Amino acid sequence: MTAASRPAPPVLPPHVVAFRWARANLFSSPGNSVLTVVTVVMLSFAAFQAARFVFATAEWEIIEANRGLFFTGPFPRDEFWRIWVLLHGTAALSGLSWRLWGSLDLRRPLAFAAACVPLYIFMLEGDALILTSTCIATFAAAYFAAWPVRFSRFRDRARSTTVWLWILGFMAAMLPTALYPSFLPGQGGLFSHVPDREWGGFFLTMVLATVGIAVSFPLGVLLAIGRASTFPVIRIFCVAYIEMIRAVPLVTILYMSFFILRLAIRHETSVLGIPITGYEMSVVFMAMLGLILFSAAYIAEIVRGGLQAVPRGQVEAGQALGLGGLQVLTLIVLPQALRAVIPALVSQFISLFKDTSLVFILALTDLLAVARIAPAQPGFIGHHAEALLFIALIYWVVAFSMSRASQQLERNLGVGER
Amino acid sequence: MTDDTVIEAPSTKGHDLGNEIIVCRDVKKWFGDFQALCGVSTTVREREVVVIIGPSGSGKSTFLRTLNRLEPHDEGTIIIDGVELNNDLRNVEKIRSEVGIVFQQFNLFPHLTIERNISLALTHVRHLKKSDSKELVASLLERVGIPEQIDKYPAQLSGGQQQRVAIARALAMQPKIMLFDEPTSALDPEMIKEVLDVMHELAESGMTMVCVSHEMGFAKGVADRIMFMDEGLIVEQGTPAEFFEAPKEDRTKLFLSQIL
Repeated sequence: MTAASRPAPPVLPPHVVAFRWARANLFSSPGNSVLTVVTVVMLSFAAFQAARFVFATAEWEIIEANRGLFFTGPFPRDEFWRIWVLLHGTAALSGLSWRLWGSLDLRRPLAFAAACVPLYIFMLEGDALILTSTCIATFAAAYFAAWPVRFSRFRDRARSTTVWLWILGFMAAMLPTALYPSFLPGQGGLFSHVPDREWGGFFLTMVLATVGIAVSFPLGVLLAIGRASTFPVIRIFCVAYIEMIRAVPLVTILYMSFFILRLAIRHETSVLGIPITGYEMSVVFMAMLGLILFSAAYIAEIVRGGLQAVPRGQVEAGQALGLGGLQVLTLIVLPQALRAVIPALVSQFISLFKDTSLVFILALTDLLAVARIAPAQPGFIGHHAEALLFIALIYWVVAFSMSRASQQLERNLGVGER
Repeated sequence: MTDDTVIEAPSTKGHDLGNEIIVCRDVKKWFGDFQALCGVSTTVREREVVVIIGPSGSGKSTFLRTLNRLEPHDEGTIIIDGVELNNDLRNVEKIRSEVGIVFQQFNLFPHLTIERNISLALTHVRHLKKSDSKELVASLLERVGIPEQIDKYPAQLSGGQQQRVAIARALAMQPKIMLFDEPTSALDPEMIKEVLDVMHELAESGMTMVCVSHEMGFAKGVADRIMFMDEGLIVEQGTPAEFFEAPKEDRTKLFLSQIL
């Protein structure tokens, strides 16, 4: 029978419980006792050394003085407003989305973000602090603006509009960037005015990671579907792509995207017979492309695992109802396949986020590169540990947020329960 | 069902049988080297209830699944309601939307609510408006006796309830024919009756049904015709009275002696 039907065990005083627990878990044998003591001593030593470094030895001025560098690298100050436009747009759309797809409970991730507030305050000052506040206000405003729509008959239309706004906003912000300085010089997107070499810091890292995830995910899903296709040409192409990319290190792909694309796309080229001059691909775009092409192959293999986990009967049930092949795929198979592989997918996203640090080989100034530059400044010579610890904290905060968000997503989708 | 002038084959339920709605001629099917169907020929008429029985591996499930082309047959002809099943996808989709099937493993969509399980094909194949489909779903769940489960997910239901949802899902398309592939074999004994009751009611309402089943009580009480299959062939068929009381073939007698 279950534990509930047994008589309740007698309640012991806490120190007795603690003593019994320690005896059972820490000192159950002479060997274990030695192990416990040695481990405790080593951990204490490490903790003491770490605390001493963080609170006594370290000189954190290097971080305070280089806030701008860590956040945006060599991004020109006069163009900062572009980043703020991007952040406010993102905040507004996030607010809308959160209300419209309200079943996603983000309380835990938000609580975590709130816990990081001291970090923001340490990092932000003046305009940045004010604009960050307006970002949060924009988020809240959008959330409450969408409040009445959630349970009205306009909900579905509002949702599809929001999805389109995301896509259009994303393209407006990022796509012309890819073609900088494009054949539409300086007219295209939000960031066309800023030379790609001047992108940097946390901003560049986040742009690479966000674009990388947003593009490689659908691409990977398509590759996985293609690999399961019954058309030999499509299947062979997808298998060849996946196996080729997975066999090559990311650094190699980044190099190749840089040099081979440079060779392939000359300064003077033509598209469909229309001559294009002065065309040069941005280095940021090449880095994005490398990351996307690389990540898509891994995502494809993860999704393939999910597709195979969907029982054959699900497809048959869909077919028997008269649903077409595409409908069976998008309505029945993919939703189940993707939710089955959320943990692996998020691992891949986190891994992509961290792999963005490899773009330093293209001489881009991402977060890691900043941490290498900052300690070379006069006055901060040699303070590598502070800079590296700081960016490690930033990487950890973002990666841990992603991991928590995915766990929340799994809970909300009821993975494992239905 | 009072007009009794056109009855050819007597029906135990007492309704008239209509025109031939399923016509199979010499249907053959191979899985690799193994021949699962060795030339099955039969016809099923409107409002007829046919129960297929037979030992495992006899091809009865395979035969049932060829009727909506979940298994394409290799040779012979299958004509459903005047439309031949062949590689023409338009025919296949037309027939599939007219032929409902209920599986042994229910095959409900676990990521969708009961309401969406049933309305999915209504909105995406029949292009019904959401409000209309919602009403239809409610009435179907009423019919199978579980209206209160509409907002739950399949895993929150018992096996018997899930199978009844599966029946409601198939009925939502207003099929002319219902196929049942061992619908009670995966159920706990106490849940079998609730599913059989729904099937019984469906038969009474005049639905054309082809059932692969091991439920002999159901077969005796509801079927117009019992079809006994073995080794990819129809060995013997007849009304329940003929079949159970006076089987002709030795193979049938042996099978009946083992199960009764």
